[in-house]
Amino acid sequence: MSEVIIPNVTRDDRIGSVFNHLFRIIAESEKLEGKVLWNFQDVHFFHPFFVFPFSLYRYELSNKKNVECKGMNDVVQSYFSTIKFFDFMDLREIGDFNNVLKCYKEKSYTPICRFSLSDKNIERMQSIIKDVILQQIKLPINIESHLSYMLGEFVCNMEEHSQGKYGYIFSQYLKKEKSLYLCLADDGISIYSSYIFKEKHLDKIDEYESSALRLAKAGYSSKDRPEAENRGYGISTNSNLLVKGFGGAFFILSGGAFHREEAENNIFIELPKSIRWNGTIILMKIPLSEAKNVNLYKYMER
Amino acid sequence: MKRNTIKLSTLLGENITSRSSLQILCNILKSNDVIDMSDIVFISRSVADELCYFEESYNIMFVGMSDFTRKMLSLVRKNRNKPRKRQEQDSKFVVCDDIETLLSVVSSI
Repeated sequence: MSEVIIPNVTRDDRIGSVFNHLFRIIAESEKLEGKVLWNFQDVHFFHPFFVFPFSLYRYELSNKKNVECKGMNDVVQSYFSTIKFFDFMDLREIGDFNNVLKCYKEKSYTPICRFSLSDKNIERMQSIIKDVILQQIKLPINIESHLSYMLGEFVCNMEEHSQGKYGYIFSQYLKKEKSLYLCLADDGISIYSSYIFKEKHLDKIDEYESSALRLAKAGYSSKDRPEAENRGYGISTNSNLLVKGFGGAFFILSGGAFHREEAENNIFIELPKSIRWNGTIILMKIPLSEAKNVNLYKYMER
Repeated sequence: MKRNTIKLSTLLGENITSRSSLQILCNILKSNDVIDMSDIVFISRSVADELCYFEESYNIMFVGMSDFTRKMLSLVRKNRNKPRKRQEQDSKFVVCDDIETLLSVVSSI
């Protein structure tokens, strides 16, 4: 039986470059009929920006094919178990969720959390996860509002626009780099599909899904009131906050296109028709060394 | 005229990030009500926009705001009815027709 050798993805040199490995895995896995065997013999560590979408892809693929994993060493097995790589940390009872997450406060990463986009406890869930992340960072800086803003605006977008069933959150703090890696995703329709569905700004969208990403980035909402452009600030203000404020990096993959923004690099890529991501993934690299100087209000207005 | 006061943190907690969560408020809000914002630590921009809509539609008053919520509401109120000033950023655009091109582009950009 053909197998897919999973590479040891330890770095993300330019934000989202881990997808170079994931796209290859997707292309090889999609070619296999019925049973897919993933071989982890070379794996010792995964960068957080790789492990998160890889986990989501595994879940989606396992709904279509029989996915088997082999060659995993004990360390990787243990890490996968702790971050809930195979089964996600499902938000059910808020009380339970709070207690279960307590043990992560002394770690540098959260589990991969899954929540229903129609769940009434989404606010409380965000608050709990934010508190865990702040405890993990252990730096004398106050980024509580910044983190609340990022989580809040993107989760709101998932609820309002994605038409998805679930949202996902994962984060890891890499102490050596003094950077927080924050990942969010939904399993809904893509940003492009959202504009088409709402029949908004169709004059600005062409056949390329990246045109929709560009539109979203520029702040065109599919839900503006007819008399005012009062929405669409979530992606635009957050990417500004992240890149210009924190000096970090922003990546969004939605449907058939992705966008990457760093200090000197701002690019939109249209994927080949053979590859498509169901839903939207957002990756944010948040350097924290200068975080205390970042004025949130300055970036909220843009 | 006696105004009815609704303490928002009792309804929705101290962090309110989701626009849809305000549906609970919308269901009980009446004209000329007062919304007590004390103990609210954070509201998202989306929530602030929705609160501004309530302010306009129901003639409500906000009391007990923290510095943060006051600034957020003020910012959203100020820009709410203005046309957006959009800055087109310099960006590259690449179409990848096949997986080989995609892998080559992703590793080089």
